[in-house]
Formats: sequence, structure tokens, C-alpha cells
Amino acid sequence: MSLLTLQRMTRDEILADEDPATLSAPGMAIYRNAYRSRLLDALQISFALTRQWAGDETFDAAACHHIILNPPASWTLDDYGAGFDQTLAELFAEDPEVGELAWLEWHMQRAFGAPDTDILDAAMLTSGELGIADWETVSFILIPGFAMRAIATDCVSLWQALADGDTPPDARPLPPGSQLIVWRKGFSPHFRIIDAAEAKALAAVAAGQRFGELCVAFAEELGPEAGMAQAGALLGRWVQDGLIAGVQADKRTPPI
Amino acid sequence: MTDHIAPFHGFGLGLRRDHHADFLARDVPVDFVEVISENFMATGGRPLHTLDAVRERHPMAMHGVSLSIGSAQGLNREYLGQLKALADRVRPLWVSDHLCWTGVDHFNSHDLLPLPYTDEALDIVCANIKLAQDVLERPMLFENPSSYLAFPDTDYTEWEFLAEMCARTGCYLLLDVNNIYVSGTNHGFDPDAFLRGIPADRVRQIHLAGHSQGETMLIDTHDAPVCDAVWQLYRRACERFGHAATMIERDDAIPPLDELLAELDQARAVAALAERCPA
Repeated sequence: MSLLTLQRMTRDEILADEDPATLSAPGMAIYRNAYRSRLLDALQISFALTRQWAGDETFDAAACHHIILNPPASWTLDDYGAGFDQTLAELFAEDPEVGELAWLEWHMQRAFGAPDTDILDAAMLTSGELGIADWETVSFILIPGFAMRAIATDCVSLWQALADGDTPPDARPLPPGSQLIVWRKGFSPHFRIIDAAEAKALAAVAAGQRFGELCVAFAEELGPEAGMAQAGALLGRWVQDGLIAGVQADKRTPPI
Repeated sequence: MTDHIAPFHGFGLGLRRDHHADFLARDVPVDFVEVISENFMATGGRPLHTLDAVRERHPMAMHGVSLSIGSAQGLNREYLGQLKALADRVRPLWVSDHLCWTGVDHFNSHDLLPLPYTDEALDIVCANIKLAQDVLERPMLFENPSSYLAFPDTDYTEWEFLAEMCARTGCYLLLDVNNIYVSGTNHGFDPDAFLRGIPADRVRQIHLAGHSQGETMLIDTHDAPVCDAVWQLYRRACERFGHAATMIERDDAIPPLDELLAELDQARAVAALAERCPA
């Protein structure tokens, strides 16, 4: 038997969910059990507060379901929690806060270890140091580890109470269009619930849209003066929060 | 690329998250620390800051778990590139991984799966080692893993395989004394025959750890102090490989740092005894 064939057979035995008595060797059970235990541990650690909220047994059953459907592919076990919030969202469709809390925990963990980058500070924006010749054509680069998603419940209050060891509140519904952002500032992950307008603007920035186009969009909605003020205020907030890594000039024709 | 790793005689511990604050706050009496490479690859923030700060105080060895040097499908080039970037940052004593494979066809078991000691496996392992050493621009160390599976129709014993691997590729060895004991017990070979079969000039590091008794076999759990039988085997290993650096691994049920430092003192005492009074 070739080494490749043997490795594929071993993988199949590790993944198979059959009676241990059918395994090719007694030692195979050790590898099979270790595989499942390791992945379950990884999920329990990454989603400790979600586990607390859902209940240990309920969470572990969901984790085992996820492990069967999602064999790991990445070289690092740190990636294994990716997508688990979606599994929870499907399994707990009536309780959307479970998947949302898991998303928050996961992205805080990702932000914590996100690659380092320079952060744009407010003084650089106005000092001319960046050499921005035309504000209309620049776009902004968000920092690594930034994440955003729509949420239906106040999973932030839930997270805070669980992290503080307080009695968690009921999962309060949020206004439609609410979104949650997560990022790292310094060494610490941060998060904030934002409204639909800021979410739309941040999504545009993430997609590489020019600042000029952002201003036009706000002007169409709020009028020229208020639109410009809104775009400027949001940019100031993002810079203050440390969300912006830098600017890039766009050679495309500016919007008319 | 240099083809030599100078011996480094000292006693160290693994840098684990539970002890980060200790290593940042005080002068921990170790000669070196070992870090798990994957914990610091493609990362930033506090983990990388901690790595840099500890590196400023201590010589550092990099120890990986995901290279999959025995993969019949070759190595992951992206992983290798990130490992090289970390090695360039850390400037480690050496970079090590395990004689094992971890996955196939984009499946990663996150375990150190055993290889059959055959001519084909040796050819594959050696080709992979040469590639890894070329990319990293340095020779590597490879560790003997604990094993719970034995294969029929092998061409080599584990120690013969390791010796031939070193001869063909110029790599070095990280000898895990606990793993020799665990695999020897599980598969019925003589741990001293293992020690005698290892080329002494290739051993640069020794691992010590605790294990536990499973239903039918010993399991390499790294969750307990080193047992007496492994201390005795370590003493005999020191007589053959006394120039190698020694490290105690603890990855589960991690005790306070001072407890591990006391266990490391025990390793120092055993090594000193082996030097003074060889059997």
C-alpha cells in the first residue's frame, strides 16, 4: 500500500462515526477520540461565553454537530471556530442572540491577534503629511481584524454581563438595520453597535469606495451641507476609534 | 544557508499563555524558552508583543506542530513561508517539528499521526525535509512522536529511520524521552535500544513530559509531572546526549510557573548526576 493510500485510509477512520470495534487497530480509537476532543476543546475555549449562555450540554451537542460537518482544513487550530456562529444561527433560529453572541466572541478573538498595522491619526489627516491632493478621489483602508455584521439582538449587553459575571439580561431586540462592528485598538478588542447609515458608509469604505462618492451619497440623502458634515463626522469618529489604517489615492475619474 | 547547528547546553521551558505574565514581569531562571511556532505565525497584537519581549530576555527555540513532514502530498508552501517569516523575526536557536503527518487532501487532523517506517516513507520525508530546510535556510530538528499504531511490513525501526533521515538530509533531532518511553511501552520495544540507535552528534534538544495510562496504552498527555521511569531514561539519555538542551513540556493542567521551575531543577540535577556518575 502506498503512503498516500495509507494516509487517506487513516483520515477516513478518524472521521468515520462507526463502532470503535470496527477500527483497523485498537490504537486508532486513541487518534479518533483525540481528534474530536481537540476540536471540541477549541470550540469551548473560543466560545466560552456563548457556551455559558446556551448551556454546556446544548452547546456541546451543537459543537459535535459542527465537528461532524466541518472537518478542519487550516494548518492552525486557531481557525477552527470560523463559521461556528453560522452553525449556531441555523440550530438556534428562534434565538438569534446565540449565533450573534458567538460571532462577537469569535471576531473579538480574531481582532485580538490580528496582524499589526499603522493607524491613521487625526493630526495626519489635516496636516498635509499624507499628501492628499484631492479629497474626492482618496479611499480609506480599514485595519486588519475589522469585522461587521447585521444583528437583531443586543448581544453586546449580553456579552458584557456574561464577561462581568453578572446575571445576563434578556436578549433585547434592536432596531432594524443595526450592525455590530469589532476591531482592535492597541492590544484590546473593541466593539460597538452602529446604525444603518454608518453601516452603509463603512461597508462602502470596506469595498474601496472613494471618499468623494461617500460624500455624494450622504449629500443626496441629507442635502449638500448636512451630507458633507455627516461624512466628515463619521470619518472623524473612525479615525478616533483607530479603524483606519491609511489612505490610498484613486486614479479613476472623480464622480461628476 | 548554514548546515550546522551549534550545540546549546541549557535548561528551558515552553512559553505557554498561562505564564506570559510571569515571563514579562520577572527574570525567569531558564536558559532558553521554546515557543509553539503556530501560535505566533501571521499574528500581531499582544501575542506578538509578548513574543518579542520574551525574546529580548531569553534565547528561543521554535517548535512546530503543523509542518506535516511526512505528508505524501508534499508541504504547504504558504505555511512554510509564514514559518520562515517568523524564524527571521525570532532568530531562534533552531526550528523543530515532528516526524509525523497531520493531514491529507486539505483535511488537517491537528494531531501528530504516525508514519510507517518504510523505504517509501523515508524517501518522502527526506524530500520534504530538504525542501523545508531550503526555504528556511537552516537545518531543522525533528522530534520522535508518541505513537499508538504500529504498522506491519516496515523496513526500519524508528531509530534506524531517524538515523537514516539525519544522514540523508543533514537534519538534527529533538529527542522526546517521554515519547520513547510511551511508544516503547505501547509497541514493546526497548527504550535503551532506541537511545543506542540514535546518532549522538545529531541530538540538539531533549523534551521531557508527563503521560497518562489509557485503557490499553500509555497516552502522551503533557498534563502531569515527569514520572520516575522517564527520569531514569533521561539520565541514560544524558549519558549519550549530555550536550543537548533540555526542556519540560506541559500543555494541560498547567501548574504555576514555580512548580515547573522546580521540576526543571530536577532535570538539572539528573543531568549533573549523569555527568558525574555515568552508569
